[in-house]
This record gives sequence, structure tokens and C-alpha cells, in this order.
Amino acid sequence: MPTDQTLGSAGAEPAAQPIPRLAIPELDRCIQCGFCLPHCPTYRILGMETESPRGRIHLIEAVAQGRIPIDARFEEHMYVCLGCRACETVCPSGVKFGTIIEAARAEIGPTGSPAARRLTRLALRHLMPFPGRLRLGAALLRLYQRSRVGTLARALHLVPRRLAEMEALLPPVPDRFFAPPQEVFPAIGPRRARVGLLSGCVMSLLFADLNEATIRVLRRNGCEVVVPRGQTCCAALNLHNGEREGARDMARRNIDAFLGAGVDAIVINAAGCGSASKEYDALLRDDPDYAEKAARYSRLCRDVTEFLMERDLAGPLGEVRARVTYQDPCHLVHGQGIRRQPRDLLRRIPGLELVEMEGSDRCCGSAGIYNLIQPAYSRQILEEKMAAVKQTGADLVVAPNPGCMLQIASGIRAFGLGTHVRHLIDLLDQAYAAGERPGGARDPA
Amino acid sequence: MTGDLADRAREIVGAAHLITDQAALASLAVDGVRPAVAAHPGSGEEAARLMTAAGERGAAVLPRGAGVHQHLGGVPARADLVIDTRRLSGITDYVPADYVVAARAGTPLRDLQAELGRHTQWLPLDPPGGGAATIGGLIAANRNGPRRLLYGSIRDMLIGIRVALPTGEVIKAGGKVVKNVAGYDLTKMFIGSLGSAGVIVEATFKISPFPGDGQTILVTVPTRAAAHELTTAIMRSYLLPAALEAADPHALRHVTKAAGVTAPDPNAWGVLVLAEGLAESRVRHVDEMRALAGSRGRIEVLEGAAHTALWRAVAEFPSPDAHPAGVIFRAGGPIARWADLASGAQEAGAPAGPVGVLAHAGTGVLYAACAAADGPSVAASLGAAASAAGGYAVVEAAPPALKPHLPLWGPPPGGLELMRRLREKFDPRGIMVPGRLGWGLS
Amino acid sequence: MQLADLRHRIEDRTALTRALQEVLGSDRVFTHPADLIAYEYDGAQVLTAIPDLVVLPGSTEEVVGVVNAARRHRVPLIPRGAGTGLSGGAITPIGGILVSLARMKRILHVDLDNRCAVVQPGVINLDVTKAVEGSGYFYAPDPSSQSACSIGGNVANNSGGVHTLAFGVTTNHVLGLTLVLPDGSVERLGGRGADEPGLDLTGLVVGSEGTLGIVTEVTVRLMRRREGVRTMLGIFGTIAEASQAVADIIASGIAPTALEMIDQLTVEAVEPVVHAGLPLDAGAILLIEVEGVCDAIDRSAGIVDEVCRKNQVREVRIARTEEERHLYWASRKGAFGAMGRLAPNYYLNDAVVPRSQLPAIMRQVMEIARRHGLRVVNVFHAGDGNLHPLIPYDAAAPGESDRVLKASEEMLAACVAVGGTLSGEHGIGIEKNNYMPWIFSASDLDAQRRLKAAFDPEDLMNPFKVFPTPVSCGELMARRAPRLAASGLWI
Repeated sequence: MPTDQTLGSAGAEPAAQPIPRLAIPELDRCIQCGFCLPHCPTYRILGMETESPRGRIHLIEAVAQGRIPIDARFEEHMYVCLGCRACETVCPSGVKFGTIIEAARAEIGPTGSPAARRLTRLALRHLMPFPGRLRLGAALLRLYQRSRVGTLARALHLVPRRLAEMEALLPPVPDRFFAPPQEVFPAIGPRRARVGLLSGCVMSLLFADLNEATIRVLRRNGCEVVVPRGQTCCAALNLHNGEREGARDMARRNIDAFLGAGVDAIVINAAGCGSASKEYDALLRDDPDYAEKAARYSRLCRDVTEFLMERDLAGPLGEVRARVTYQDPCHLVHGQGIRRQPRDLLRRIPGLELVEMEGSDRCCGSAGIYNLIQPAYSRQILEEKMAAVKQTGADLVVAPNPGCMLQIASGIRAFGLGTHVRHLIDLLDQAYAAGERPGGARDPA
Repeated sequence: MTGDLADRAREIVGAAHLITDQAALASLAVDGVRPAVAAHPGSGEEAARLMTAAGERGAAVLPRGAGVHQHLGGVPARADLVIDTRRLSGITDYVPADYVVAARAGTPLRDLQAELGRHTQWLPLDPPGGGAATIGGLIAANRNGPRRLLYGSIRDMLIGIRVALPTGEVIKAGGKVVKNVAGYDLTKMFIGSLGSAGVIVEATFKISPFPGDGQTILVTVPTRAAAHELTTAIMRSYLLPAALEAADPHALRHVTKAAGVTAPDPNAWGVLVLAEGLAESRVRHVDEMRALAGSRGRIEVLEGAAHTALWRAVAEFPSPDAHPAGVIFRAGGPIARWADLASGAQEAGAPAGPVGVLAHAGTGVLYAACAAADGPSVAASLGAAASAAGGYAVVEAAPPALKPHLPLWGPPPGGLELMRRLREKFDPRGIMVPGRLGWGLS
Repeated sequence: MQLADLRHRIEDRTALTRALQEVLGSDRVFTHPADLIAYEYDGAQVLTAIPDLVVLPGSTEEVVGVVNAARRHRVPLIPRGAGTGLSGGAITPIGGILVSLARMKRILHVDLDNRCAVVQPGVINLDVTKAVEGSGYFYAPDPSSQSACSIGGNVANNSGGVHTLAFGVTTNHVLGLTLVLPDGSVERLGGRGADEPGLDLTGLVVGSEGTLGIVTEVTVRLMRRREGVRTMLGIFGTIAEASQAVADIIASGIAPTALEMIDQLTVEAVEPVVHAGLPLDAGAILLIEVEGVCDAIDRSAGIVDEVCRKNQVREVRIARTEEERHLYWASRKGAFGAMGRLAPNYYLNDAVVPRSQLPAIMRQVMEIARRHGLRVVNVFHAGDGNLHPLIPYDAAAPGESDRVLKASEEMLAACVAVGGTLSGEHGIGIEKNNYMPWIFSASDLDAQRRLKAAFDPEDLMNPFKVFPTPVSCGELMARRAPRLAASGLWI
């Protein structure tokens, strides 16, 4: 453990062992211009260089060179990062910060107390890759929510504060999960494409109706939709939390499932999953058996909004009367560079008024499981977001990503705003339904 | 103690450049205080040696250019040696394509402008005191005119300076390029210093293309409030006037008379807009001013000789020559508060004579003039109004006998202690302009 | 002499830390190596030094508390804004307390009719304009880093920008300051109106690079947005033709608000990123902006067009939409960042010459680069004579860093030889302080030291900056280079 004196003096011996595998070429690209700082949500609230992309890159470089060790402080700086990648969008040198931070987290492993680390690791290794186990977990949660055990426990202060906060973020687990009866859904009208749907772990459990809506919208747009049974979670959470090996396994399973289904495109309706899927090529670059397949897979991946705007959107769309504002999911706008398409789609819906929100491309504080591991910072960020939502006067916040939807919905509850949260696909599905019923506009909320 | 100063000064500048004749010295008196001797150095080094000689003898030094601004500041406590810069004259470096000119401090502004004018360029400065003032004097007195609204002030144009310090060195600060962040911006030490930091030897300015003829748009309105409403509307518009003035009836009569224009309503206030530049832009200014003036007042457009004469009179108002027995004030504050300053000057209770007011309404600087008898009451009232607005008020000119009874400088500014320390560092013997700067700074 | 010998020794580190914690609480005083190492650099990157402590005060009162603690322990103070400076002004060459003003980022007061705003030093430059643009106002100084740099940093460096030509630099837009002096006293300077009586302390503090005190509030001038703006590109075959066009445009008297030049290599780097449709084979491109009332804008643009044609312009393009205008500007402002795409490293120069010397100095710059076997990229404020020759290079290549430094020094010397200066807007910091005697005599520098001594008699504020020092900045660079070179990273 070095002291600051030794760090300060010229020519000090390295204070720790260098970690050559962490000296990834991506670090070279950062010229420390600092353009990323004001766009980093954690730098905005903390003002610390160590909680900025530039500072974190510098720390990682220092660890790689053995100038400082991997210790609790370093770990904290690595995990206060939301992983929102807003820095990537504004970086003039094109630094892929996501790659850098994931490499650093892979060195550290999951964060938290020893018990929390074990729990996270357990969940990432033994829960996420297995849809069946996930479904069982969600069912248990549903039972807990409905039994009022929770209410009683909270009233008796039996639930630790941290857990209670986590609980507040969770929506009621719906009656049913996404478990399609068939693997293939035919196109409505002439078939123009065969697409695969990545059903996702959270989406399948908490947003089954959204997956169903996505299938309906795709079918209306001439797509035959395949939901391969062999697919699993996209592994984004594993990657963000330093579980790289497990992530590679999960990626291989998805690649096999989708490439085997012979699809023209892999459509994804959760921004985080899309972003991770589009980076399978990098994840498996050094796997001789899968490198080529991963590249092919990543090329096929499309966010659903991107996919729909690449072709002529089928009509007719009925009226949906609402004033909406759009929250850019980080993994859509920063991770995939998709900013225009969702807005264009919204503008196509008759009766819908789109009001831009200040800082719409700034993270809401959800960031995967960030709101679970850094609740205090997450809340500060959410507070700013809720003020911006309020400013727009919108009835609806549209955020095409489950994490953002949960976070914003919890913010709306906490701040007592009269706003609702919807997925873009859900609105589009509603517009199609309205288009079928003559004069069939209904209150979207 | 200062007995052999004249001899030493003669050694430095030569007999031909030393003034010991009492009548000649009387013409150099500042607020009636006659110097013991005056020297015309031929170089910065000579100026520096003169100050060293004065310092060794504890003699008081008053730097001087054309003497146009000597009415500014307090009555000198002592005046042993006047260092007159007028021998230090002429342009030293001028490449028109650089839009930069360097000239010695004693160069009259008018001479500088004449040379620049040959290349359709100018130093966009229209200070009170006009062309007779030397550039060194303009810097030391920080003199700016109505056109600063569009072109900036002398502070914005000065990019380099050479100065003889009271401690005997000749130094330079800044340079001859238009952007320069090498080292401290010491040019700021000398702007408005009234000569306290040394004798300015040479100055370098960034200059501009000459904009050509302009037009005056004069709107007469019934009251100060109406004038304020109009200047506010102009400032909120997209118009880009070179100058924007609000003149009370007294000032308006004065400047229109100078322009040879038929006197407007003797009780009207005037709002004066100066449009310069492209013809299309000037036409727009006239048109939009017609719309803005609307029902508010009568509009008149002046061009040519009347226009030129009017703006000369505006820059000069209120000239100490025209008010030899009066008191002249300058006040500044938040731009839109000019009317509060004006009412402070004009509502000082039963004045013996009129209080003329002219405001540079786009920059928040106000000039006021009153009879000597009204000096103390106007000073108190204007001072209070300025303080209330977060601004300042100073006396620019007053009969010497009255000066000690007037708050020449107003309340002390922030950083006064720092100013004292700076004075000490640059003039450790305290020989420069004693009594002239406010708050005991000299 | 070596820098290590000059490093400040803190006698009672524990007591100092405790004193600072009493002022700020423990979560805004940093001493852990992982925290300190993140403050060893600023935007200059090649120059690094690790502070002894880092503090993040949130108010003028807290800054006073920090200064008093530092004074009692006789430890230097180094203020820092966003850390985007390009001359190492925010690093701590001999250690000390790094005072980050990043948390002081509130806009305290906006007064449109009086055209001013009071802001804290950590406010991002662009955020000032964002706060008032809806009402039709803006803050004029706009460095290319304006989306990230802080107002406090702008004040320290007297920053310029791409619209300097018409609107001037920071010193022309700062009306007043609150300054915490190294003796712990708080002074409110200026801010009472134009031509305020007394010495112009505000003007002296602007551009003093944090060596006189810590600025905790800034009153800035706001300007009214011009009604019309026309943004044009003049595409030229050679730099010489473009340079002559610059001179002729200024002489025409229309006062463009921006007049920027980028050369062929810049376009090569930027075009793949920005996609503004710039031709890759043009020798030089001028970016010209004219502003004013709408009635006159066509005429102004017409004059620019005419002048360009007289100088053999290949093509003049006018931005038809706001989007196109942004693309033109993105090509200019993104130039430095995009250098990462030409080579792993770049070295950025910032010299100014009298405008008529531009074509000649450009030839010299090219010649110097050629002699050292280096490429040079030119992006600059042509209207102001402010050059930014950029040298892309690879620090991993043996001897290349030395050649770059040598070439840069020669370029700077060439600029000084024709009456130019060492820095137009990036500051002297610790990068160019040992060149100061090139343009200032011993007496000139002594006069500047008197100013410093009046504000900071004990030399606690940002030591080793601006004035020549016994060590060169090369030593600060060398400290980092071997380590990085070993792992293939850039210096």
C-alpha cells in the first residue's frame, strides 16, 4: 500500500503489481480533454475527478501500470459509475468507455460487502443464465408481494432499510410471465422478413404483455416472428458486474439459438439487451469457434425502433391522444447511437404530441442494478430527472427499456407526479389497435 | 530637499527641454497648484531617470500629456516636477494589414486618427476632450465616449504598453498581437491610474476598419420615464447602434445647437441612436426606430455635418470648458439603471441652477453638470442613488476651492487594501501624483 | 536542480487534514492515493504531478476555511476548474492542496436588462449561454472546450474562443469578481459599472492563472443574440490563398464574428467523424460567420463571397439550415479531439503573430515540421493571427517525443521573432514559463512579480507557474514517460 508521499516523489517504485491484461489499447485513445465530465451523471452530482470517465480511465491505467493497487477505494470509483456511456457519445476521440470499465470490473469482480458479492455472484452465475430458475424466483416474489408478509414485515421494521428501498423499485409481479405457446408467429399480410425476438429475462418476467405487443407490431409489419426456445438472458448484467466468463457462455447459447433459427434480423425491445448483444463480437473475438458467428450475430441485432424505421412502417395507425416526453435509454442513445428513430416513430402516431425534455439523454439512475447497489446516488440522479419530467408537463414518459421504466415509475410514485410510463412499442400497438376500430381513440393512461 | 531637482532634470533632458519660467509653469498648474519645474523627456529612459531623481529627493511627480484631463482627481498635495510626454510623439509601428498600431504616449489622438484614416482605419475611440488629448493621457484618464457601446472602451483596445516606472525601470507589458495571455495583463495597472503607476511611454492598440458615414436618429419624448422606456426597448431589440444616448432637455438643447439643428421642444428629453456600418443596416435602424418611437415621440434623422457635429457635442458633454465654474459628475451602474442615476442627480432638492444630464444609456454611464452652489447637494443625492443602484459616482471637475468639500470619489471600492499594496510596490516612495487618486491611494 | 528537491514538505499532514476536514467534512477532503492520482493531470496531459491533498469546497466561506488552514500550515494552494487547461495550470508541480471548484457550479443571478450574470467558478462556460439563450442572450467567449471548461478556468486563463475576433476574450466580458486572497480575506472587485474609479483589479486578476487568489464568484457580461447569422465555408486550393482572403475580408470592414481556418490534414481527421461533406483535397477551408440585423446579412455574406472569389476560392458554401451550421462548427471544434484518429498522440501549440505575418509563418511552420520529419495539422483563429499547429505523433516511436518538443520550440521561436507571443489563449502555466524571458526582460518580469507580491506575499498561490523556474517542464514530462512507454501508452 503506497503512501501519498511515495506517489508524489519522482521515480517512485511501482506501488503494486502491474496488470498487463488491463492495459487494453482502448486506454490509449483518451487524450484527457475532459469533454466527458459535464455529461457524466456521477461527476455532475459529486464533482470528483475520480467519479468522471476521464478520472476512471486514469485510475484504470494507473492500476494497469501497478502505480496503485486494486483496493476498496478503486473498487468504489469503478462501481459508482452507472455505465450509462453518455461519455462515449460526446467523446471526440471515440473512446469506448464501456469496454474499459467492463475490463476493470472483470478484474475486481462484483462489488459490495463480502456477503453481497457472494449473493451477486451467485445470482449472476446460477440465476441469470437459467430462464426456468428466474421464473421460479419471480413467482416466489409474486407470492411474497401478494401475501402481505412484506407489509407486515416493513411495519415491524423487520426489513433492512436497503432492502426496503430495493423493494420500492419493484413493480408488482404480473399474473403471468411471457411463455409463448409456439415458437413461430406468422406475419400478418405478405411475409417480408423472418425475425427473431430476444425475449429477455426481465422483459419476460415483468413485461410479458410488452413482448406480446412487440410480436403483434412486428407481425403487422410483415414479419414472421420466431422466439427461439433455446435463448437465454443477454448477459448484460453479468458484463456490467464483472462476470465476464459467465457472460461468454450465455452469449454462445444465444448465438446458437438465433443463428440456428435462420432469421433475417434479431429484434430486441430492451435497450440494455440490444447494446450487449451488439457487442457479442467483441466479447467473443478471441474465441476461435465463435468469433465469426458472434460477429454475424451482432450484425443481425436491431433495436425494435431501429428495425421498424429501417423499413416502411405499416399502417393504419389510429389516434392516441397524449402529450408525451421521451427519455433516451442510455443503452439505446449512448450504447447504440439510436436517438432519431424512436422520436420519428412517436411522431408517426396521430394525436400524439412530443415534448422534448431537458437532459433527455441523461441517465435516470436505473443503470442495470445500479439503483440497487448505489441507492443514494441513484436517488439524487432520479430527483433531477423527475424535475425535468415535471417541466415538460407531459402525461406520459416513453422509455423503451425495462430498467428505465421501473426507475421512472418509482420516481413518479415517490414524487407524486401524475405521469405514467409507457414503452414505445406499447403505444404503437395501441395505435394499431385504434387504427382497426373506427374512431377508436382511448385514453392512453 | 528638492532644491537641485531642476539641475538634475536639466542634466537628464537638456536645458532646451526644461521649463522653469514661472509664466509657463503657471499654464501647467493643476487645480491651481503650480509645479516647481517641468521636463520634456525625449525617451522612456529619460522619464525613468527623472522619476529616480524625484524619488531620491522625495519630490512629487505629475505626469502630463496635453493637459486635457487634468481636471480629474483631487487637488495635488504637491507638484514638484511635471513630466510632460509631448516630445514622445509619433507612430512607432504601423502595418495596416495587422490592424495594430503602436505610437508614443505624447501623440495626440487626432494625429493618430489622421494617419490611420489614410488607410480607412481608426482607433474606435471618441473620448471627451477630443483629438487634442494624447494617447497616454487617454489611457491614464481612461476616457471613453458614446461609441463604446459597439466598439468597446480603451481597455478593450489597448494590447501593449511601455511605461517608465517610478522605481527607474522602463518596462513593457502585453505585446503587439490581438490575443495574448503571456504573463499578467499589466496594461490594466495603467488604465485610469491618473499617472500614479508611472509615465506611459508608448502604447499599442488594436484598431478597426473605419465604418464610414453614419446617421443619427433622434427621438424626442416628453419625460425621463419615456426616454428610459424607449432606451430599454431598443436594448431589448436586435438593433446594434454604435451609440445610444438619453439627453435631458438641457443636454439635448446643447447638443442639437452644436449640430445646428432647429431646437426641439425645449422641455423634451432626447433619445439619440447612432447607426453606423452597411447602408442596409442603417436603413433598418431608421425604420425600426420609427416603429419603436411610434406614438412615444417625434423622430428626426440627421446626416452629414449635423450628424458629425452632434456626436462631437455628445462626447464632450458636459465639457469643463463650458462649465468652468460648475461641477461635473460621472456615474456608472447597471446599464438599465441610468434613469435612477439621472433622477438622483436631478432631484437633489431646490437647485440654484439647472442640472444637465446625459446618459450613455447602452453602457450605464451618466454625466451630469450643475452650478458650483448645487455641487454638494447633487453629489450627495447622486451618490446615494448610485449606491442604491450598486453603482458609483465621482466628481470629474469642480472649482479647486470646492473640491475638498465634495465626495470626489465616493465610498471606497472593494479591494482598496490591495490597491494600496500595489501602489506601494510600484511607487514605494509615494512620489506619484500625491493627492490626486482617491481614498488616500496617492 | 531536480523537482523532487523542490517538492513542498508538509510538516504535520495529520493536523492539516484534520483542519481541512473541520471545514469541509471528511467526504470532501481526499488523501487516498486512488483519489490523488486522478488529479495529477489536466487537459495538458503530458505534464503530471500528484497533489498532497485534494479538497472540494462548496462556497466562498469554505474556500476561506481551506485557505486559512493552508496558510497556517504554509502549504501551497492550487485552484482547479474543470481541468481542461492546456498548459498544466491546474497541476501541482511541487505538491500542495489542490482546490477543485467543481462543486461551485451554481448560476447565482441573471439580470437580462442589465446584461450580466453572477456565477460560481465551477459553472461550465456553455451553461451560462444555455441559461439565457431562450431569452435571446449569450455569453460571448466560446473556447472550443466550452461544453466542458469552467468559467473560473476561463478567468484564470483569459480564454478566447472562435468568436474572439468580434467579441473579444474573457477579460472583455468579466465585470467583477469575488476573490479569496491567500491571507484568507475576501475581496469583491469591480462590478459597479463601466469605468469604475480606482485601479482595475478585476482586469489584473483575469489571466493571472490562479496565482493571485481563488476566484469564487464571477460577474459576467451577457450579450444580446444577433438577429441574423450566416455561416459560410470558403474552400481554397492553398493556405496562401485562404490567408489572403482572411486579410481582405477584415479589410472590407464588415467585421465577421468568426474567421477560422482548417487545413487539409484536419479535414482528413474530422470528416470521417463529423460528415459535414468537406472536400478532402482542399488545401485550406475558411469558416466564416457574419452576424447582424437580418437586413444587412445578405450584403455582408455577399461581400465575403466576392472577396473569396477574388482570391481564387474553389467554392463558397453557405449553411442553409441550423443543422448544417452545426456540422460546419463541429468540423472546427471537434478538430483537436479527432486528432486521436491520426496518431496516438498530439502536441498542440498556441502562438500568435501579427496578422500580416500569417502566410510567412505558415511556411516556416511547415518547413520546421518537414525538417524534423513530422506532420503538422493547422486549425486556427486566422482572423486573430492565433495559430494552433498540431503535431500528431507516436510517443512509442523512439526519439519522436523529443523531436516534437524541439520542433514546437522552433515554431514558437519563429513566431516570437516576427513580433508574436507565447500564448494566445491557453496560458503559460508550467508549459511555457521558461520561455517567458524570450519576450519579457528581467525588469518586465520583475514588474509582474510586484503584482504577484501585492496579492500573495508568501507565495502560496499556485507556485511554479507563469514565471521561469529552476526546472523545466521537460522534467515533469519525463517522470511519466518511461512508465507509460513501457506499457505502450502515450506521454
